[in-house]
Order: sequence, then C-alpha cells, then structure tokens
Amino acid sequence: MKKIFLLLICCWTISANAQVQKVNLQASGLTCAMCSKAIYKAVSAISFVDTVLVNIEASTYDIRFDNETTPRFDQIAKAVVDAGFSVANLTVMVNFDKQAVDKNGLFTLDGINYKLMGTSPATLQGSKKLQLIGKQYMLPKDLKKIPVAQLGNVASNTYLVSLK
Amino acid sequence: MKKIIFFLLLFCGYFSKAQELFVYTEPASNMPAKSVAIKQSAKFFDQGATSSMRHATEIMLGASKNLMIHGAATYGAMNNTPFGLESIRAYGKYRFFSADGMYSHFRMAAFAEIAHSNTKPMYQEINLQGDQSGMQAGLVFTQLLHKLAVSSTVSYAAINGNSKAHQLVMGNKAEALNYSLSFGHLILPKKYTSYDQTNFNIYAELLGQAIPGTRKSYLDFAPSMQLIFKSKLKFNLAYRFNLQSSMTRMAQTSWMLGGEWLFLNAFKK
Repeated sequence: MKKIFLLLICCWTISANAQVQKVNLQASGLTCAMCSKAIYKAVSAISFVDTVLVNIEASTYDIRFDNETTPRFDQIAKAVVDAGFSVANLTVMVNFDKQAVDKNGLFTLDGINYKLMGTSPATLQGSKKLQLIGKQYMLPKDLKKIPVAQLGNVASNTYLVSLK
Repeated sequence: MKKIIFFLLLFCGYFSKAQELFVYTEPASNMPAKSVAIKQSAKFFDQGATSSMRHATEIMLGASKNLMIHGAATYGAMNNTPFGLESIRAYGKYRFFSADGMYSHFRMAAFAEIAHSNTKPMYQEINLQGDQSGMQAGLVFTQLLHKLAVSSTVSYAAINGNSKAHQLVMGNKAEALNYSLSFGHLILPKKYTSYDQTNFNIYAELLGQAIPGTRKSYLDFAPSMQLIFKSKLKFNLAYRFNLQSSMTRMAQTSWMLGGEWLFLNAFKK
C-alpha cells in the first residue's frame, strides 16, 4: 500500500511540474535527411531538452523537456537557425489547470510569461496548443498575416502566442 | 549534347526531391554551425597515353550559421614528378541572404579563396586546386525547390606569377572568369523514415572558364552520383568531360572518387 501511495505521489509531482508537456517544431528550408539530422542534433544538444522525436518527411520534431528546468523556446529557434535553417512553426502543448489570464492576455506558467494574442478567455482549462508568434518562430508569409500592433506590444521576457 | 539533354530531362520533374550537396561546386548554404567535415578525394586525369592522379584532403568548419571555412591540401605525382605535396588552399564562404519556404529556399553567398602551389606552370587553364598559386572570389546562388536544386557560381580568379615560366604558358593576362550551373536530385529513399536510410543522389554540373586576356575558354560537363550513409558519410563518384575547349589543360576527361565525413556539434562555441 505504501508503495502505491509513493507511486501516486510521484505521478502527481511529475504531472504537476509538467504543464508544458512538449513542443512541436516544424523546420523550413530543407529537404534532405542530412539537414534534418543537423537540426535534430542541435536541438538535442540543448541542456533542458530531454527527448526529440522526428518525422523527417514532414520536417517536424516533437520535443520533450527535463522536468527540472524551464524550457526556453527562443533557444530552440536559435538552434534551428544556427544549424542553417528556419522555424516554420513552433507550438507548445500545455495542460492547463484553471489558469487565470489577465485582461491584457498575460499569464505565467511554470515560470514562463505568455501573452495571448487577440481576445482571450479569463481562464484556460485542459489540453491546449499555443503557437508562438514572431519573426523567429514562423514563415515570413505567415508573419505577414499578423497585425504589426500585436507584434510590437510584448515585453522581451514574454512569449506572444495564439491559441490554436 | 544528347547526353546533357538526357540528364536535364531526368532532373526536370521525374524524381521527387532536391539535393544541393554538389560534388564539384559549393552551394550557397553552409554547414551547420559548430560542425566539422573531412573530405578526401582522388582525381584521375586521362592524358591520352598516360594518366595522373591527384589526392586532396580538405577540412571544413561551420564557424557560425553564416560562415564556413575550409583548409585543403593536394598531393600526388602529377606529370612524372615525385609523389609529394603540391598545393595548399584556404577558402571562406559567407551566406548573406536566405529566404526559406516550407520545402524550399533561395540563398546567396560570397566566397573567397587563396591558394599556393609548388607545381611548375604547364597549362593555360587556371586552376587553384593544385596547379597554380592565386586567389579567387565570387558569388553563389542556390534555389532549392521541392523537386529540384539549382545552383550557380560566378567568380573571378587571378593567379600570382609574373615569372617567365608563367608568362610563357599563360601570356601576361592570367585572370579568368569561372562559372558553373549545377542540378541535384534525390533518388532514394522514396520516403524518409530514419536517419539510417542510405541516400542515393545524382547531380549534373556544367563547369566553365573564360580567360578574356587570351580569349581562351572551356566548358565541361560533369555528371555524378552520391551515396550518403547514416546521414553523415558521403561517397561521390564523378566523371568530368570536355564539351568545348580552346586552351591547354591537364586533361580533357577525368574521374573523381571521394568520401566525406560530417561531424555535427563537433565543438562548442
């Protein structure tokens, strides 16, 4: 019984720390496996990254993190650019537990500041996808669709995101 | 000419993916930052009654996302000289423009190289990969579309050497305009599932030189094939032959066999 209790506590601790479950990265500007491997190696080498699952054909990477450290999405984008390519899409999969959002769309989760683009709900609940918005996180053609006023109005320590 | 048309037709839409890891030329893309590659190649020159062989070792470094640096040495026993070091060369390429699409990109880079050679000048062809000392600078444009990789290089080359020996062979004008047009395609695998799959690529490259001072020129065609093992070990086999030439050269036809090892994240910044 003690063991089960201990296991339950462990599970509860892990799930409580892991509200940011994973990140889905889509890289652009490449068609070859050697190029894809360069991105895979660069992302895998980041200190807070635990595992990377790749779909070479789709050029997508499922990235999971160490529970101990806070992931930095800007460092993931930088690793892709340093490998010689670009980010087409970076989406964070989050499991929300009654997350309060202020009237400006700002909220903090696991030590990371986010700002929701557009009209935002007062609370976020359950499994959601947050797409990172910005020059380093999307294709130029997709960035053009974002109003300039939205892009400029974000603090440097905050990620601008849109709810998918 | 028929051969060229055949190859170009092969490239125009028959296969499904592009490759820009060309055998004779560099694309505008660079190696990933913090990676190192070592390239070993052997060229076999068919000189009619005889043939010669030249080896080259090249170390390539991804210094940053935009800059890569090469250092190379060639050695061999060309033209009945004893086997030994023939030349050393340093090369740098800077990618200054990049527009990435989902499965495409257009990139531009500028490059410069400097070479020193011990060999005696014997040919009118200006070649900094073993034959002569000098410098070269130019631009590379590479377009990668889902179905085709096309790359073009335009460069200016000048050799050092106002010696009588040089003048005798070259005349006073030892400057050349080099240009190339390369096409590349991935044939296998049909579908990528793992980095361990062997890649099979084919390339076709047009390589030209014009020496305005002496009004000499050549144009070569070089088809090649490439195997890539475990996304890190490359093997190239290429045949280069002359389409047109009005200058004296080491050989009208040559073969090249080479291997290249890529080490990603080889060093920390």
